[in-house]
Amino acid sequence: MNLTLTNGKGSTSTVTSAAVMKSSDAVSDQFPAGLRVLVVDDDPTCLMILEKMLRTCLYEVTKCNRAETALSLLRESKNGFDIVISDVHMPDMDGFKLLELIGLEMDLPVIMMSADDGKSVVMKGVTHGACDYLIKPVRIEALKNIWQHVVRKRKNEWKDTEQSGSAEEGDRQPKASDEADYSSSANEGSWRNSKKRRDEEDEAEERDDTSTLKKPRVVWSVELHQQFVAAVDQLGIDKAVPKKILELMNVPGLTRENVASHLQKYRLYLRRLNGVSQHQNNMNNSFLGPQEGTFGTISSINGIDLQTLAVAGQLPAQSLATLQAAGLGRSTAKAGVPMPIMDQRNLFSFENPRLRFGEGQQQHLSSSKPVNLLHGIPTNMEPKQLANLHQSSQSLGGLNMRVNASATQGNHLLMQMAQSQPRGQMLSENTGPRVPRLPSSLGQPTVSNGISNGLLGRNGIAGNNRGPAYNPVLPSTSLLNFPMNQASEMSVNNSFPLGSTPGISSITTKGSFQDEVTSGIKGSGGFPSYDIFNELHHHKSHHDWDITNPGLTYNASQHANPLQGNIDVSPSVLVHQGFSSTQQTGQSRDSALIGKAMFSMGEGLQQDNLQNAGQHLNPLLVDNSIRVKAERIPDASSQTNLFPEHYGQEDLMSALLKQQEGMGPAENEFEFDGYSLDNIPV
Amino acid sequence: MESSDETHNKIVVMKQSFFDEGYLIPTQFQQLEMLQDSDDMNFVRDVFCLFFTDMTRQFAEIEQNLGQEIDGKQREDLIRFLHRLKGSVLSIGALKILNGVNKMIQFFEEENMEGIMDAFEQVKMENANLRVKVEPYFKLLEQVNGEVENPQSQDPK
Repeated sequence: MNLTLTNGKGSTSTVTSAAVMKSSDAVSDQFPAGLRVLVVDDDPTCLMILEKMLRTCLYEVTKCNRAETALSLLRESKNGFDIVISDVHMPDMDGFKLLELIGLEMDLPVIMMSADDGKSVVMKGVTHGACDYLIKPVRIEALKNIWQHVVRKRKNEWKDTEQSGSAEEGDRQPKASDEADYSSSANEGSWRNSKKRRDEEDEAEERDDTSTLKKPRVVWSVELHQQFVAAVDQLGIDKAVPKKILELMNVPGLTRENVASHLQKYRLYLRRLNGVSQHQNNMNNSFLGPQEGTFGTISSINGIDLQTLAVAGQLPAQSLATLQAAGLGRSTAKAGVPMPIMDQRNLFSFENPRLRFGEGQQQHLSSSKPVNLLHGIPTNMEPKQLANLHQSSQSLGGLNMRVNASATQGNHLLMQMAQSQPRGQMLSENTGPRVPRLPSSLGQPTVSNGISNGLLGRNGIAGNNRGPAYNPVLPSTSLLNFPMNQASEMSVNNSFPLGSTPGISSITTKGSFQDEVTSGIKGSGGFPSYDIFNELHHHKSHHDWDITNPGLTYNASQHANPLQGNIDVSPSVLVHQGFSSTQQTGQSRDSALIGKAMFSMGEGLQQDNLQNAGQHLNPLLVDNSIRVKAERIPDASSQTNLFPEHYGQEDLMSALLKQQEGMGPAENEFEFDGYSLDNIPV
Repeated sequence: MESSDETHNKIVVMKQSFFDEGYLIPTQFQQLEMLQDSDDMNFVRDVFCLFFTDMTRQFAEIEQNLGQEIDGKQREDLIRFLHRLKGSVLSIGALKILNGVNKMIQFFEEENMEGIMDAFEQVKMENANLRVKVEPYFKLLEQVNGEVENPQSQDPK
């Protein structure tokens, strides 16, 4: 079947759509033969020659002479192409713009080409994310090797997205959002299948498998992520090595590489949380007396915004400290939360080097950090303190909030929250700014509610009381439910807004993100997380919401542990979370719901809540992050070329290519960092 | 009438003259020839045909953006057209035309519109020259191919 493309001038060029129809499976057998290439160039002579060359390489070629046509072709057939080769200078759309769009929407490798070998334009190609830049006249030898970009990209994507839950390469549509759940269930199935298939082929070596063009993604569902977090927690964040984590998790089909890559993201997440929370804590020092930055970094506990309370002047710092201490001391206060994770406490042990759970954290907590001590504390909190919280939380509304007393003790706190989840009220909608809900199962529903009210009023710590199924998620969900309208972003820092200023301030200061999130959340009603991210990242990621892991939300460790602790509302955090929480497909649905609920609730959430929410938004974030990155890339370079620097073409290209390749994966990280930090309005 | 051998010789000589006289870049031409196969005997010729046809269009577009009074958008379009032109020219290895195009780009960077326009004239002229130079060659080739396909026919066209 042939398609006819018309260019601007009315002339037509024939496009072979056979390539589009071809399935990748058939291709993989003879790889790289059959590689489906889309060539875009408004120069018909070049196009003709390129097509011929590519066919000689045994690739399947589709050519078009307009960028718009290319985009529609790509959009129509999501996985119809493996790689795109595009000219830089095109009439209807700048080649770099096309590059960005392709990267955003389909995430295919794109090779730029041009007769223009000026350093600046080649650099522009690199910074915009082109995986290669060919100088015309393109020789067939150069085309023979383009398949390497496909393999490389898939390999990287597989590793990057294994936690994001994205099911297919190039298919970034948020299916989950449609289903209002994590969508990971579908993905999980396919992932597991493909994973098993892959593992059969190659035991623990998914990479470098050039025989397959498409690699199955490891979907880090909420459940899986919980297991991961539990394992990490058990090992201790410093000692958690992929191998041991893998053993502890004991998930069939999971490879060490999966875990390693997930761990890496988790660490980054935690680090980010920590950094953010510290910053925020500093901002809020005035609120509750001495606040330790590290404390703030403690995973924002389930969203109880003690800071809010403190701000409201209702929660004395001491109370917070006590709460925190109580929360910390509560390592086993679990009312039988059906946490799938082995040790709840482990959930909270982030690999946050700066954050030392246990004593360290406790100390921090007692320093009146706005940790979500209230979460999970209810059972252990002293009545007086609880009462205080209660009072102060009155304003928060009827949130069923769990007080995460101890950020450090995230595990048990989360568990508590989880406990309360089933019993707790459903998270309020996004509409309410404060939707904190304290799980009634905390044992002190009143208190918690009160607290939540007070605390969550702002933070909207949502107890994610979605129901039993979501127990583990509760904490996180509550975080998600934190009122998004908090100006402060969801500082990942664990400084749960127990009233400590850091949390509050962090929330307020980061407002922009939160605002965005809030708006996003509000709109969603169903899955706020998705909405948030969608809006934020222009991308509908709906990966597993790692809400089912209460530990996550609680997780004070803002450090690179995206899954746990503070939800770093900052985009970067979310991104991390997206990564980390992709595992739990099983619970993803629930988590997603919870997350959304949390978000809805969390309009008034302090950043902590958001942070927690963010944690669960990991899977979503992953995509978002990716998107973020992609989106940012274009911004990076705005230079115009026309600077004939007369560099040796080959020298330049090789140097650039080296850069390019070296930068590739790193760029992701970089972008995330930059994004998160930069977007934190202070 | 020429024997097929003579024709072949002629072809070879003609082709060599392209390189010797600097009309075409040998490596690029050889790349094109290499792409030609039994299924597509006229590939090189088709490429050149397409090139010349397209040159008409490209020249017209460039023409519209030349002049002392062009605005920013025209300037942007112009340099884009120039790069595209360069790409086309490079793809067939038209060396003399390439020299002219490079000059145009150089003058563009120097913001010397007059220089651009002068170089443009050179480009157009070289394009015409090239066409004159290669057309007989392809005609001969066609003839030879025709002979290959129809061994009986020996009549030169």
